[in-house]
Amino acid sequence: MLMPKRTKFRKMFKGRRTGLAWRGSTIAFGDYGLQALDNGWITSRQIEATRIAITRHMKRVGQVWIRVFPDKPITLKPAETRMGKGKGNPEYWVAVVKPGRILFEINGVDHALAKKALGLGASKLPFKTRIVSRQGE
Amino acid sequence: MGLVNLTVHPRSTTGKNANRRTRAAGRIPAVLYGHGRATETIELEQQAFGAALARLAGRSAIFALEQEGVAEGHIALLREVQRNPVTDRILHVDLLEIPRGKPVTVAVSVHVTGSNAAVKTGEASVALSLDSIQLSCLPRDLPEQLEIDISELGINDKIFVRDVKAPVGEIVDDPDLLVLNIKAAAIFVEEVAPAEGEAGAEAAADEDKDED
Repeated sequence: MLMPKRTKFRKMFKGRRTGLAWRGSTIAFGDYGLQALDNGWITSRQIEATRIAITRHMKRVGQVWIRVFPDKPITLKPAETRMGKGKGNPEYWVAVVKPGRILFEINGVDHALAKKALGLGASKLPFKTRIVSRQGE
Repeated sequence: MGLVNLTVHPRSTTGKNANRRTRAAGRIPAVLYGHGRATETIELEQQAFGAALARLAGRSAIFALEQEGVAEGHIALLREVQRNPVTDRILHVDLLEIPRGKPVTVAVSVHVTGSNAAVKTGEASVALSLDSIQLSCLPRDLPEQLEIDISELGINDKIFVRDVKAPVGEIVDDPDLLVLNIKAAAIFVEEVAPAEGEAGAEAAADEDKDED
């Protein structure tokens, strides 16, 4: 699963997800893409599940690009622990997603297959998405 | 290639709030520059410009700008269109004025034509590395797109910029740039007999990794 090789700090603030994804919001590599319509966190497990769903439906034809990277550590406190005593331990990694962000891109398949594959991948994600194609096609 | 006529209106206001009011009035804030002129702020009709863009569908075009009270209009290229990433509404347009009768350098989009047998059967796919090529030509000769025929190509064949024939003008891009290649699809091979010990475990692990 995707995660950074090393980080400067082990834990991160929660942050806010305001605004739109003005960068990373156009198709850059493939012909079809999956675009987020809401904001949220996408975990490395969800990214992997989406990638597997897309590639398995494409039957290993074509190419897939992942346009998000989970670089934000999320901490959790152990169960049945009293509050306080410091911040919890890093448990998993997420990518921060804002509306408009292209999450995945694919190439080398026809429109029907691309739509079905990206639709299956979208069902693994925690927010609304839409399928977009390169402008003019 | 014909000119696309576009009516423009002068704009005296600038800034976020004024531009919001412009958009609310059904117009798009735009800017016109180039050809040694001072930058001019203008407005475009939202409906007309949106319809023109939809008709073009990614093809190159030259816009003939018509302005009330101005006898001779300008010709301009579309430099940038800013959109809202979610609603796709056009927010702002950059137009680059070009001189009449002088060659201009324009990025012309690449269009793949022809039916390739390997691509059709799923053995290969077209990997497009360049989606536009810089072409220098007279504005009136500017082609809408550069067509590349892939019907005669085999698996792993490549098309470079030097292989692309421009109908008019001269290609400015580096001739050694890759435009597209016919990329073989990854073929899943069943492991016949896993080797003993560590080598076998490694092979199985690699296979699992490749499967996804």
